[in-house]
Amino acid sequence: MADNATYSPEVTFIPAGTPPHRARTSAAPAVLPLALGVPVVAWQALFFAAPLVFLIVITFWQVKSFRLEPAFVLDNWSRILGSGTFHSALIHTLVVASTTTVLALLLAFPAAYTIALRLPIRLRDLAVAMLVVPVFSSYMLRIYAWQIVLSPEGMTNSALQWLGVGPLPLLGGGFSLQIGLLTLTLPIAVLIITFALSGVDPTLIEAAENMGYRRSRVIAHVLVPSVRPALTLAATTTFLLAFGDYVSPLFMTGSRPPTLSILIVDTVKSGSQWPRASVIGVAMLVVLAGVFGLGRWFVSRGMKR
Amino acid sequence: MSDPFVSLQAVEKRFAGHHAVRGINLDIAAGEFIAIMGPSGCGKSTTLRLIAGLDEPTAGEIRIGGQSMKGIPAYQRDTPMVWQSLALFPFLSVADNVAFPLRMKKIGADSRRKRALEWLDRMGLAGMAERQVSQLSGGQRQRVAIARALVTEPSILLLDEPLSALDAHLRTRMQTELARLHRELRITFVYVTHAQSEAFALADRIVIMGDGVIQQVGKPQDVYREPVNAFVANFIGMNNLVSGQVLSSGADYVEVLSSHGAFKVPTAQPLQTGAPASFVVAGDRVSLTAEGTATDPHLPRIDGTVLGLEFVGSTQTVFVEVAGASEFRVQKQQHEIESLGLVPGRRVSLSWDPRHAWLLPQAA
Amino acid sequence: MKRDSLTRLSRTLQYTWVLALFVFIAAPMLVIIVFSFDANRFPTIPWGGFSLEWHRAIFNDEMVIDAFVNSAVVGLGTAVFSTLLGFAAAYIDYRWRFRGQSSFVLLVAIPPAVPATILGMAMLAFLSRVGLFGRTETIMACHVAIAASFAMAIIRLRLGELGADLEQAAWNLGASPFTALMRVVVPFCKPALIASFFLSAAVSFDEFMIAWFVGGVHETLPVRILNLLQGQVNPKINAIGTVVLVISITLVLVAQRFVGVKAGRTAATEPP
Repeated sequence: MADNATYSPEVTFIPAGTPPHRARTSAAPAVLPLALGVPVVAWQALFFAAPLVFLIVITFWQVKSFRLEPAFVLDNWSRILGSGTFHSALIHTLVVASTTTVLALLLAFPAAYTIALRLPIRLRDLAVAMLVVPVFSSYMLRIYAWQIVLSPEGMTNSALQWLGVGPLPLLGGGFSLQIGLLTLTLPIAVLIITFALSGVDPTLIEAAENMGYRRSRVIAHVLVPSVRPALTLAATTTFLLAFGDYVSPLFMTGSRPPTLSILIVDTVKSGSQWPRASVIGVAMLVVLAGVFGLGRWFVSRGMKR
Repeated sequence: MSDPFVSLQAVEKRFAGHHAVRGINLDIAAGEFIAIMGPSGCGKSTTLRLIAGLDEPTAGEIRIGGQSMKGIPAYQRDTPMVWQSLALFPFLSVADNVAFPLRMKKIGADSRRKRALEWLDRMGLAGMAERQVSQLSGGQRQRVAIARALVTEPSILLLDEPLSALDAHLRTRMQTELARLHRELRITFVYVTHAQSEAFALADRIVIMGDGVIQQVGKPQDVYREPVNAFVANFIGMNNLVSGQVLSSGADYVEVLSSHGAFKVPTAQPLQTGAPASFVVAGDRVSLTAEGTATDPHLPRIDGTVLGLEFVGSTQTVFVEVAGASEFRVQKQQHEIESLGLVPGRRVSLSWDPRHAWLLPQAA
Repeated sequence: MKRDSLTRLSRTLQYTWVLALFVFIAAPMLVIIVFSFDANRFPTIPWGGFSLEWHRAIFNDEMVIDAFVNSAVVGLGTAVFSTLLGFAAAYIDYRWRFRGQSSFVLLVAIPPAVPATILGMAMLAFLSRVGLFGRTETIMACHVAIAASFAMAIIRLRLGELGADLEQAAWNLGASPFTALMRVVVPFCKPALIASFFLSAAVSFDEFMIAWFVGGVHETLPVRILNLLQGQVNPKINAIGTVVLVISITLVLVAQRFVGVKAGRTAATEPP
């Protein structure tokens, strides 16, 4: 029975001498892969792909007396893309996210360096395990905690007043916003860079040191270039998270000025302007796709050297 | 062969861009121990997998027990295999590993366990039943793999380089085990290996594969002494190949003219003058004398220089460079080497009994 | 020597930096936990004295209890289905080669990369149009679409350690592909399956944005907290937060127990 039956997941080319890794047993109908694959595709299609496609579709629809109606108008696009509120929110979100990205990389790298290369292995694994926890838990609560801590009546200001320093407006500005966004992004950034650094061939570092490079030069000229893909990944992930975040701008700055996520929620809450909110959403996705593409180009450029 | 147990007819296997098996015909008798040998990439493992049903041939037919295996998937053939990596299930105990094939046959738990324990006993692993695989030594794991393959009492056992992961002395012990098992069970063993010593020690017949085709099939000593072509001659044993053309031909000999001289070689039939011809002389049938020693002018003679020596147990292989930058390999006992004063650079003369030269049936 | 004291200084700085990082991460959690026992309505220093008042209060708050039950149900459902889907996707990617394979993997892997606000809005718009709005099952289904990504990643890593021989040996010994899947592949993946289960539960338990959009009147606990947070300062939040923190952290730690996340040249999983 030839391998090219009607539905045939084809066997890949295997180098001579190696037994085929993915042997398809003869006469095995394609029942198993379909039985496994169809539910997966169907689920993701229904609950992920279709909503996103629908999102793009309704950017061309209209809202008449609080009801969403199919149409094909470009109103929503022109309205949002021409809106001053949108522009400022876009710029604000871009600036904020970029700032977070830069800060996160600068703060994460030394920490990752220490964890990956200076800590004994058991401590390193413990540190990594401890860093994974905040990624999957408690972000909103920690923002709330920062809100309490930084608020004018909060403990930071109480402590400062004790020391004789007047109550500082810690909340409500770029400072607290970055605190919030770093709470979100720092653990992941540190993890990504830690993984990359601990995968660096130690003989590379030894060789550089043998050649007389000082530690700082070793870092700059050997370590950083060799973890370039990880740095790019950490940067794009940080940007992605900061760009789309809702909670930090809401609680740290009281939505003043609003970021794009806040704009979406507000647009939806008031008057159910779904098409317009969708335009903002699609615009955000375009920006993110662009950033991601930029990241990949950056990495591939590095590879070609 | 009348009524072979396993029969491969014009079997081919092509992978995307790679023709692994190019058409082989092989009959294996019931109860035979057959070894398939060859260099890596020759298609021997692929052939074993085709018999097991882990791959389907792109052409040709495989019959086992008289039944065509076309369209019969691996799990419906009773062709258990002992894997090079052993492939023991790490999440099952030793006993459960051995009992696995019985479970697949839907045999009840009590019966399964009993039979598994019997086989563990038989393989000298009594008391290991509840251990985890990771707690066993390499040799013990090997036995578990064998027990697991034999627990269903199949008519055929496939083995894919099963001993290659073991160290030397374990390998010899396991070889004896396998020979004993084969004698006791009297089922067909198909054994793939690249190690000559194993094949020669264990097999009733050996199959030499090269480049996806069968080069020669026969009893070990026949293949060793009478290789059918240059490929087999170079792969098996320590053969010295001399190529040339037929100078003259008689009833029971030919004279081959080569770059080293003209030599008489026994033959069953006369050959055409001018036809290409090659012959081999086994390395343990070549005699060495130091330069200047008187030699019998009627015997063949090739002069050369000792290139180096290599230990192989109690013998040494002497590499002698001869005309045309080619090499002869001669096997000598240690004391002979000393008495001859063989060191690199020494000029020597090689000779052999002309009856020991073997004309390759396929010279090209 | 000057070199030595410089090295020692830089080492101290490095360790301090890492310590500061962990303080930055942990301090807010500690604030919540500690001040949930503070008798004061508003958490500030000096402390108002130890009190269990707020913890008792949340057990009497019906909305909080309902939200907790919703979170538990949604979380459990997410854990189960996300592990199933993640396994199916991981196994397909591992076992077969086909056209569109990278698109298939991407379809499962990419949802966490889409900002939750956008995804939540899109899901709400679409699912309400097909009549699935405002049910806890819908929240669960949306959470699965996201958590399956993590489940697939964890299980795919484990499958990479299976090796080609084990499954083929199972076939060779009489197991049909389906039986081999159930009796060899799944048991082999057990630690990864358990880890996926707990991690998916954590992802769901912590998720608030999509749950807020899609859940309607059915609030999960994070949504309840979100709503509470947008009102006045409420000391109950600390108490709820403590409960949520403890549960979330436990789930993630249990998951890690089964799949050790280890940096280094080979990231290994723990033996079964």
